[in-house]
Amino acid sequence: MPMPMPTPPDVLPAALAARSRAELRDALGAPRAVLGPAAAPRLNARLRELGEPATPLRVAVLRSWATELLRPWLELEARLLGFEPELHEAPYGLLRVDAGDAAQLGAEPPGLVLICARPEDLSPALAPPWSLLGAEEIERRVRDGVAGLQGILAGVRAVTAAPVLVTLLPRLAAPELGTYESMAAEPAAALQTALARAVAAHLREHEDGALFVDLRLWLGEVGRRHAVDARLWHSSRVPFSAEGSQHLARHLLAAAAPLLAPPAKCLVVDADDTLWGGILGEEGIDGIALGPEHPGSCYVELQQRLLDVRRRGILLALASKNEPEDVLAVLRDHPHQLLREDAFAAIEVGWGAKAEALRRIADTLNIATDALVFLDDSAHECHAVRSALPEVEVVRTPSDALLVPACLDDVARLQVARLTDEDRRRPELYAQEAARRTRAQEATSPDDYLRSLEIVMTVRADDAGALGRLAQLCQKTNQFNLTTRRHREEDLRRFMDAPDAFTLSFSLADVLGDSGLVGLAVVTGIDAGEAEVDTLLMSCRVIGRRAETAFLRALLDAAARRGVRHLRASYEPTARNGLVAGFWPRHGFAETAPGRYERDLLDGPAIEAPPITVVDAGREEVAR
Amino acid sequence: VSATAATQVRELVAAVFGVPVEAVTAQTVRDDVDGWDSVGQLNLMLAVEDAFDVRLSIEDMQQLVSVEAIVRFVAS
Repeated sequence: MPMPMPTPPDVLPAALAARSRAELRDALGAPRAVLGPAAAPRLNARLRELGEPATPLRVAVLRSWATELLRPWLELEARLLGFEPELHEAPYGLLRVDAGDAAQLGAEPPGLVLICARPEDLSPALAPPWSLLGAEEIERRVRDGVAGLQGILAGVRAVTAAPVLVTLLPRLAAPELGTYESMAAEPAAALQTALARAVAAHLREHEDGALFVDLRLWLGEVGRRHAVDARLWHSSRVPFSAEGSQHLARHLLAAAAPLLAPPAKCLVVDADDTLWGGILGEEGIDGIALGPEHPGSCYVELQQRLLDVRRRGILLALASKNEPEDVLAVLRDHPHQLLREDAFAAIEVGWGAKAEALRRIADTLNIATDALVFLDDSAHECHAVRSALPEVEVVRTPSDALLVPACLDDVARLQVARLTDEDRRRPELYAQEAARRTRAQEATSPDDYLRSLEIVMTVRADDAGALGRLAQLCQKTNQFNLTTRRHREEDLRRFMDAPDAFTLSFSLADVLGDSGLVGLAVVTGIDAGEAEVDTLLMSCRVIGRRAETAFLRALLDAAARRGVRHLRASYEPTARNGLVAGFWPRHGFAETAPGRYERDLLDGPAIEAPPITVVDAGREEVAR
Repeated sequence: VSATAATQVRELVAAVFGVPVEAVTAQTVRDDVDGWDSVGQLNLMLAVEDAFDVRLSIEDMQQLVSVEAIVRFVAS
């Protein structure tokens, strides 16, 4: 007989026809069949009708999420266990019982207290984000959380000694860091697990009759029921259901995607019907949907997910057809707007074509348009951008607000394969860069501008501690890169260890902030006073501060100290590095063949020092 | 009912194994169709569940190896 999903049709009638509690329980099957939403009231009615002896059980529920849907099922499960339940739900949000007001837990003292809290209700320190916190920070937050729980339990204990179940609401959205969550040094799970363990330890040691139930494990159990198919496993050793297989394949490829092609560098979002619901120009700042109620809550949640994307080191930018001052007013003043002005590395609001706005954003950020992902609700805008900039991945914001928060979850280009300190700070660094541009426009001369920045360059030779970042620079730097050799960590380590080669790298800081490790040179083949610049590159993030000239001077010094007299170099053109075509001749290197250059380190023309303080971390301050 | 079901099953078999519908008849059995191996059987059974909103037992999944058997099953 075909069996309609999800439950055999005869389960409910059989249960309703049962003549005892035991028979009814038996009819529901083992494991328990999944029942429709209408089943609980009918089964409750049947169990009451049977009128078997039952122990009264008053259950008090303290909750900061709405538990109403649990009620008939809690009653059913209690009855199946031989209790006659009486549920008292405390007012929504009330977790800290007032010792003088026992009625908050019900008119009669409860026999069981169920606490359904969100982690941030224990302590504001436990509000998300939960990933990338660091061990000390995790410890501090967990301590605050346990102290908060202690307070809640003290309130309960002042009223009743009844058993208590403590639960914490698990994260409902996909992981903050996407597929990289599995690789992160401090995934959200580090905090969640530390919290769960600390809560459990506290209850074991200090709270008699209180149990913690980790809902993350239960959520995994529910997931397993959907993703695992026992029939396939036992007939063919296929573990996952059709649904599970579909999800797993997408998840695996999304995880691999950033290894196969570079992830996006910037996510450009539309405003109307994407950041908020409705049209700002028509409905005004007070009319758009953005806030705690549906549909506004869906847009708040999308903004949270956008912040998660930003935590992966991917920049956010805004491209909207609106009056600029209207959009700025929302960014600055709307009480529920999460993404303020400083969340965006670039903002383009106006009435021009979106494709042009995207081009300007890419220009401003010094990235190629193929590093953009674009999110917009309008089919027309999406189509126009796809036609003008086919290299941009375009994602359409769903028109159903409920689908909006998860609309980026399956975009593989927003997954990352690594997350260095540099990556994490990138959005902040770009915000600094925007401030630098404003300063440059205001300064009287370029050198005045540079001097006002008080730039300090720190150079390090053979910095094995930074191999990850240096290799990343080799993989990712396209524009300011003379030879574009994609060295990996093991290649760079070889150069550092070899007697006839060295690497020199630099980080840059100024009054507006620290740009981090942003440049690398590799010199190889040191032999009899000769050597070759294998690699010279600099992150596009610091272009325009004359750091390249200061760095080259440091590089020439370092080579000279290693006995090099004649330094050879080359420029290998690519589609992206036209910017540095004249770099060697501009710095006194003579062309010896097309694309080949050489400089005499003793007699070459002087290179004027830019206004940058250079510190050699391995030596003393070498130049000003 | 069974005429429609029969057509639907033939179309399903054709779609799962990538063969023309005309090549699948009421008499087609597993050995007649290229690709209808054990993995193909698994895929076909999952497609049957999806198309007819039914749940198959593990025995059904192993035994429904002809168009006729599947049609009889979904019509019952």
